[in-house]
Amino acid sequence: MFDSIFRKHAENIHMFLHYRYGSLLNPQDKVQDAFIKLWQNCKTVPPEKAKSFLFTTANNLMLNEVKHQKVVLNYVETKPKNHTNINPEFLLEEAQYLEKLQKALTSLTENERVAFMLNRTEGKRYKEIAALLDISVSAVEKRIYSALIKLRKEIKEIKEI
Amino acid sequence: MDREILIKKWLEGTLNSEEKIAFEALEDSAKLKRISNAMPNFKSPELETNKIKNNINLNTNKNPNTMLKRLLPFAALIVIALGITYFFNSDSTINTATKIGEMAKVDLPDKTKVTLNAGSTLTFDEGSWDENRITQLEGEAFFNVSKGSKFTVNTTQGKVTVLGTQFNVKQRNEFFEVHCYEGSVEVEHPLRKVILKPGEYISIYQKQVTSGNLPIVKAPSWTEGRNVFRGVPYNEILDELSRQYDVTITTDIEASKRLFTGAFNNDNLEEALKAVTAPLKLDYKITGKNVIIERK
Repeated sequence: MFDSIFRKHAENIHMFLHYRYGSLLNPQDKVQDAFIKLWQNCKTVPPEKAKSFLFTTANNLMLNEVKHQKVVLNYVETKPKNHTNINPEFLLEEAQYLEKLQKALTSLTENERVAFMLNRTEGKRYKEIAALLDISVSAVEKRIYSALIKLRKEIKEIKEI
Repeated sequence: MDREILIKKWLEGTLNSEEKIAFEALEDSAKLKRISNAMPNFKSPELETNKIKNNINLNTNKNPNTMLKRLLPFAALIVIALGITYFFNSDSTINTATKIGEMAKVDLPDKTKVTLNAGSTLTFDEGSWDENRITQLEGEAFFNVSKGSKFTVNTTQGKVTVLGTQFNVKQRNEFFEVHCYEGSVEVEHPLRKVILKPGEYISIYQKQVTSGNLPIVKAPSWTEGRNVFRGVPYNEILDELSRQYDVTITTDIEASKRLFTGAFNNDNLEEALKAVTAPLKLDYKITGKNVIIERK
C-alpha cells in the first residue's frame, strides 16, 4: 500500500517542488520527509487523502526554509552532436541565452513556473498537469501562456541592459 | 486570428496548417520557439528513489508512531515472548522494483549480484540473510550467486534453489522459465522437479513443460538490451515489448495460442515491432503510446 503510494507520487512531488522552489533547497529531502510524516500519520490519513497530504506536507517543509533562499533552477548546457562544424560563437551565444532564461524563470510566479515547466520541460500534457495540481485544464492553459509571455518579456529586457 | 489564441494553440500543439502559417508570421514566433526549445535543458534531476526508500525504511523503523508508543508496553511483552528471534525477523525486508523500460542491478549482502529486468520486483530480508538466503521474485532476473549456503528464489510458480552459480529466472503471468548459466540449479515446480546443468533450461506454460540445452554463454542477452525468445507464447512477447517500451499493445490475433521464436532490441521501437511482426506476417501501427498489431 505504502509502496504503491510512493511509486505513484514520489516523482511528481519531487518535480513539483523542484520547479516551484529550485534545486538549492534539496527537494529530494523534502520528498523523503513528507513520506516519513505520512507513515507516522498513516492511522489518521485515509488513502484517498494521501496525495494531498503529501503535497501539502512537502510544500510546507519547503516553505519553512524558502524565505531566505533564491530560486535557482539548474540547467544542462546543450551538447552539440558534432564538434567539428559548430562555431564557438554560437556556443557562447547559446550559453548566454540559457543564463538569461534561467534568470527570467525566477521572475515567474511559483504556479506559473510549475505548470510551464511540467509542460515544456517534462512534456506532461495539460490534462496530466491539471490532475497533478488539482486545478482545471483552462487554469493550466492560462498559467502556461502567461509564463511564456513573461519569459519572452524578461528575456527581451535582459538583452537591452 | 488573435495572437493570444495562436500562441495558446501552438503551446498546446493544436494548430492546423492554416493557423500554423499565421503563427509563423508572428513577428516573434522564432523567439517563442527558442524559449520552448531551451526548456528541456532545465530538467529536474532524477529522484533517487531507492536511496529515499531505504531512508524512509530506516526512519520509520526508528521512530514508531504515537499509536505504537501507546502500545509499547504490550510490544515489549511480545518481544520478550518471542525472544531474540524477533530481532532477526523484524521488518528488515528490502524491496527493489523496476518500472517499465527500466533495468536495475541489486547487490545482496553476500555480494550476490542480481540484474532485474523491466517491470520486476525482488524482495529479500536483510536481517535473516546470514541464516537464510531467500529471495522473492516477481518478473525476470539474472542471478550471479556467490558461493555459500543454499540460495533460494521463490516465485508464484515455482522455487529455485542453488549453491553458487549463475542463472536466469523468468516468471510472467502463467509463464515460468529457468535457465542455468553456471554451476547447477534445482527447480521445484508443482509439475516437475529437475536439476539443471550449465546451458540447460526449463520452461513451463499452461502445464506444458519444455526443456532443452543451449550453447553456453555468460549472461542472458536481455542484460545487454536484447530480448530473445524460444517457443514463447506470443502474448508474452507483446507483454515484454510493452514493459520495455512503455506502450499499450492491442491485437485481434489469438496471441496466446501462437508460439514465437525470435528476438527484439530495447533501443528502437520500430525495429523491435518489425522483428516481432514480420515473421508472423503481421502489420503494426503506432499512434503515440498505442500500438495495434493486426493481420496484413
